[in-house]
Amino acid sequence: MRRFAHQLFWIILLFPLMSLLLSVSCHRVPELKAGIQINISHEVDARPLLMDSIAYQNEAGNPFSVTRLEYFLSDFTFIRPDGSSERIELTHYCNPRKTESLHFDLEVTEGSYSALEFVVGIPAERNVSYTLPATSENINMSWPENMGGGYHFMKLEGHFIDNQQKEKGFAMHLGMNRWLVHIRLDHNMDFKGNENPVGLSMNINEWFRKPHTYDFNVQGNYTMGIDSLMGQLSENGADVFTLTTR
Amino acid sequence: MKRSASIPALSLLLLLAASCHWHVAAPDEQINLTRLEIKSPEYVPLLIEPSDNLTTVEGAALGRKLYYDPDLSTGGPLEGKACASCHLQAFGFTLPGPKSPPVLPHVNLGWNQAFLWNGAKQGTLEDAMRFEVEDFFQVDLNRINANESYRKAFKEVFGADEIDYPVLAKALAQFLRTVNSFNSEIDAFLQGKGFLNESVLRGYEIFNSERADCFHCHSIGLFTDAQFHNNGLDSVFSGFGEGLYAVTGNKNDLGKFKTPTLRNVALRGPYMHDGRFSTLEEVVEFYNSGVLPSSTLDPIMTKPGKESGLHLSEQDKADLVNFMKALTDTSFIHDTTLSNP
Repeated sequence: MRRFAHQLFWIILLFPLMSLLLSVSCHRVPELKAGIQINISHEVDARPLLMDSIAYQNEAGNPFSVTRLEYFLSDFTFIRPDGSSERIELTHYCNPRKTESLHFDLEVTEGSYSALEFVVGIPAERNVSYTLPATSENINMSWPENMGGGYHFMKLEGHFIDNQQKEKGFAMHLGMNRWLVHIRLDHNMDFKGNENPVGLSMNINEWFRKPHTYDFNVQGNYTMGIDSLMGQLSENGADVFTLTTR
Repeated sequence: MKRSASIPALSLLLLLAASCHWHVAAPDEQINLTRLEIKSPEYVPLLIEPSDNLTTVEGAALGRKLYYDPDLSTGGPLEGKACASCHLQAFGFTLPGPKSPPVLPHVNLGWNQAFLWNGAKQGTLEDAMRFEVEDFFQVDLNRINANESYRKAFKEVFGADEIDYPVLAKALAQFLRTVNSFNSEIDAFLQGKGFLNESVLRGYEIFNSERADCFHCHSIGLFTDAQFHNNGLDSVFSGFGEGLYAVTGNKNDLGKFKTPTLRNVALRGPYMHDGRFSTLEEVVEFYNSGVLPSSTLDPIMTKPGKESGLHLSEQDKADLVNFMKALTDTSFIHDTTLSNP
């Protein structure tokens, strides 16, 4: 009887302790989120982009200005050194004439990352007409239904001086699912807390640099609906962005 | 002692809470307004509607009364005229016939943030209407305030003891947010509720492709991107032809004008900011062969094919005109809820 009481004592004492231990071991430590502030800027070979000014020269030697730049960035994937990743599904409209469009916030799990991937454009599964919020900006980026539907990924327009020294316009429009621009930026990043600014700078000249040197006089000053030219832009676009962290 | 001190404090708090509640709730209780939700198709952007002037049945009705009331101009430079004198419903709320600049239509204005051909008025529809009543019509506020019917209505709808320019503008803006046209043959097609005849369908495809490339500025939906462009009418610019430059002083804006909507375009004319074209056929021919170069010419107008013309056939041009005619909304021009009350 005394032995039973002794055993009962230990059972009563140990059960809650064991339960507590089990509960602690099963309960995962909550992953803390870090606030990321994406800040987008535009340059032309290290010079800040000044709209409407024929102050720049591309790789082919064409003097040019930028009068319009509108584009979408989508689906940010932060990649850890071990190869695992965290993907944030979103589509964000950017326009240097609308400064409010150049800043947006994300959240990722606190920790270290070694690369950031995203796309210029909208992934195929979401590149469907009138599915983005019906803002004027989004509606005006529509890609006509009879040309495939969805949205323009980018409108880059301006003027250039041609071979005869005449001022002409150019309109580099990019769209259609096969011409989505995939960006990967290898960069060590440590995110903790709420203040983690990430700068993304687009160098306009990279759209015209490599692997295809884009000459407005040769390839042409208009790309919309021309697969071969949109393809060149899409490939050139892979390294238009650089990333900086604090 | 403590308890006795807390009673007046609690009473004061309750009194403050009650007075705050009264202040906020009173107007609603007084006037019992009915919210008017303005609907539009999915291919149209979100309506721009300021939170301090949400459209109500009563507010829009009051604005409608003002819109048609020639008394608004009594004693002013437009003596005898109402808004509706130059914005006739039968013509899509504009005034056809030779006039330079042509009267822009009052249609779908709730989506605009820049007004007049050269963007001389920017901001909300309320800002534009304030310009209309204060500067354009120069409304005699004493006369309006002497009108018992208006005094009563403005008190009921806006809680206004005195009718001033901002509240007149609010009422007109509310009405104009209801003056919307989304029921043309093209709308039925876009919504999968109707078919286009062969010519209109071909016109739709020419309009919405690189062949004519109209869609970049006349975006599907509102059929305007509400932005400013130099479409190549002139190479040199003077007077009203300077366009947006006259407002901004920026030489990059020379010759730029607001893209007019193409909705109900066949009901009006002449066309362009100076009314230089009388017919839609002339407009199409201009884009086909008459675009002039200049340093501010919109890049969209300079695609290789356009420099030597669009090379549209006679059939293509007729199809484009037929497409534009299919943007006529007959239910809109006969809508009795928008007509003179």
